[in-house]
Parts: sequence; C-alpha cells; structure tokens
Amino acid sequence: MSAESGGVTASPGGDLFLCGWRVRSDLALPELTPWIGDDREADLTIRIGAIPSRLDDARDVSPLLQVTSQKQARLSIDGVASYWLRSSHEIVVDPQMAADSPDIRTFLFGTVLGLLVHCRGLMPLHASCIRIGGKGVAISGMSGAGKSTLAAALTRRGHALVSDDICVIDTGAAGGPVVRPAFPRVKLWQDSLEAMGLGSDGLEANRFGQRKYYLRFAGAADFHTEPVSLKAVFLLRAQNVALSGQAEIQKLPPMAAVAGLNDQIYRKRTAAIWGREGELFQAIGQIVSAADVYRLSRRTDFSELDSLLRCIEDHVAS
Amino acid sequence: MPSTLSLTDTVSRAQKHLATEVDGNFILMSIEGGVYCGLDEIGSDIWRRLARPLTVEALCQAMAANYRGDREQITADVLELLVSLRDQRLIHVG
Repeated sequence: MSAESGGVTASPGGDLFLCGWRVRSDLALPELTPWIGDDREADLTIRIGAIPSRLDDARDVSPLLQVTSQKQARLSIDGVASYWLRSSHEIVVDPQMAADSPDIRTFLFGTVLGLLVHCRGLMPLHASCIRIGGKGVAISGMSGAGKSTLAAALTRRGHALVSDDICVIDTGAAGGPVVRPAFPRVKLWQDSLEAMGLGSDGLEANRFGQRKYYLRFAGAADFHTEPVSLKAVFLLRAQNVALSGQAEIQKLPPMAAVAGLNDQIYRKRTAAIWGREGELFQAIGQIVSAADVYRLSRRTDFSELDSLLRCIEDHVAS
Repeated sequence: MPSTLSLTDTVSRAQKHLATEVDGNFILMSIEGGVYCGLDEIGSDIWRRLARPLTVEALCQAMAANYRGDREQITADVLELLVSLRDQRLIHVG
C-alpha cells in the first residue's frame, strides 16, 4: 500500500462517487473515486460561490452553524470556508483559503456531509466502517476513541474500507440495513500512524498545524462502491487505566445497544430540529435487530493492536 | 400525582416519546427524561394496545382474554406496568 499516491483519483472535471450519489463538483475532491455508475443526472452538485451571511428564518445551533426548518444549513469556519447546504442536491462552498486546501474538505466531509445525510433521510452514525468477509462492520465512538485507527489497521489486514468517521446507513434497504460506501481515506493522528509502523512523511495534514494526517488508500481494489449489509457495530470506549491489559469485547443486550447507538448519531441536535428524532430512533431498532452490537474497551496506547484486530475478526466471523 | 391508577382511568401513549422495535419488543425513551425503557413480549403487546386511548379496565380485560393466568394477577401486573410507564412519562393518564 502506498500511503501517499492515491491510485483512485478523478479525471479532471469527471463526476465522482459518494455514498451512492453521483457528485459534480467545482471543488477538487481527490478523496473521492470516479463515478462509474449509470448515466443519471448528478445527485449532488458542489459549487464554489457566494453565501449569504444569514439564511432566512435561520436558528443558531452554535456560533458556527445556522439551520432552517427547510433543512438548509450554513456552516462557517473562520479562515477556512463557509458552507451552504442549500438543498439535498446542492452544496455551495465559499473558500477563505486556497480551494484545494485539505482543511476545506475536512469540514465538507464532516459536518456538511453529516447534515446532507440527514437531509436525504438516511442515518449518519459517528463511526468508521470496514468490510470483513462480506459483512459491514462499524466501529463507533467519540472523536479520539480510535475508530479510524482500528479501521485503518483492519484494512492493512486485507479488509476493505467502507467509510471513515461518518458511516452512512440506509435502514430502508430491502434486505435490512446497509452501509453506503463513502471514499477510501481515513484520518489518523500521528501516534496512530506510529502504532501501525507508518511514518507521517509525505502525508497531507488535514488542518494546518494539526498533527492529524490523511491516509489515502491506493488501488480501486481496496474500495467497493456497492452497499454492504451492516452486521456488527463495535462501540469504542477508551480505557485510560490498563486494568487487565486486555481489550474487552462484550455483546450488548438490545436496550443497551439502542442506547449506545443513539448516543452516536452524528449531528443529532440539528436532526432533532429537522424533526428526525422519531424516525432515527426507529432506524436504530432496525439496526439492532439486524446487527450484533458490542462494547469494546481498549487500552489507549494501542499496544496489543494485533490481538485486538484478531478478536474483532473472530467476533464478526462467529 | 396519585401513586396508583384506577380501573376507570383512560390511558394512552404520551405525546413526547421515542419508540423502536428490536425483534418485536419495544424500547421506549421519554424525550423529557432521557431514560430508556425496554418492554418484554407482554409489555410490547400492551404498548401496541395503547396506540389508542382506552380504559385501564378494558386493557386488563383484553389482556386476560389473550393470556392464561389469574385475572387478578393480570390486573395487578398491568397496573404495575402502567404506573411505571406513567412515572417515566411514557403514557398519558386521563
């Protein structure tokens, strides 16, 4: 695997793939794979343009985020860009730095993508997802819990990455909940790279001055665009004290599984403003009915990473 | 708020709650309290019947007609569940 040269890059001006949508973008999005699906119209257009400082009838979710009851949103990141989720088909970006800066994509593929997923009636879970033996396995947890690290480490054991940080789940699919693949890239902190024996030289930092790095996975073979059935969710809990030195994996009963997943809905406050609480809670029940949910307590220092990865594989296979 | 319910009280699902089904059993959450409540098979049956307002007596009758057991015991069990749901603000009484 080459960490730097992403083998999957779009031809200039070509449409791109994201979560099953055909994306047409003014902004260069080197993380995304080219669209190789049908000749439909673009599902989503991302364009560079001016954004009003105040959306009509907006309410402030935070000093950075305005949302409207019409499911529009405006995110403003000082010194980086403003983003306007104008409809479920259109995002406008107003960069305040070079348009190809990775910082701009950090928020586009973070909060803005999460809100778009809500806008489109799907479920964004704060999780990374990998394909293990044809099964979708989500690794969920708060920022810093280690989901990207585990996902990246699992890809190094030959499993395909499905998504990083935001796991887009469609519970309305005919055969049960599926995860829609996003793009073949994970964000990793420097200590995680070191735990996997990788250096950070040549990687692109995702925000200027932060020691978090993009790791792009080369080769289309590592990434599949078809949705994958969600069969297991691991809820991460970092454990600062090494109690036993061993990672502990515990299957959760339904109520604890529902509560655990409900805590990991991405951008839940905005979803509530948009009246989605009821449908999201129902969707969680569908996920828990179809997938095993585990609580995974791990050591924070990534020691014994290999045994933890094997443990995850064993639980998924059983 | 009285601690018990009367057979003549009318009960129905509260306005503000979240509900989901896992393998046919309901898991509820009151939006105000933020507390989860898991129902077993019989509790889930009762929850389905609470979709429309009905008296406690009618609910107990329906349960006695569908489950084997002592009528008084069924009534006591239904009342205990309803009081618990009321205290968690998952049902509306009156």
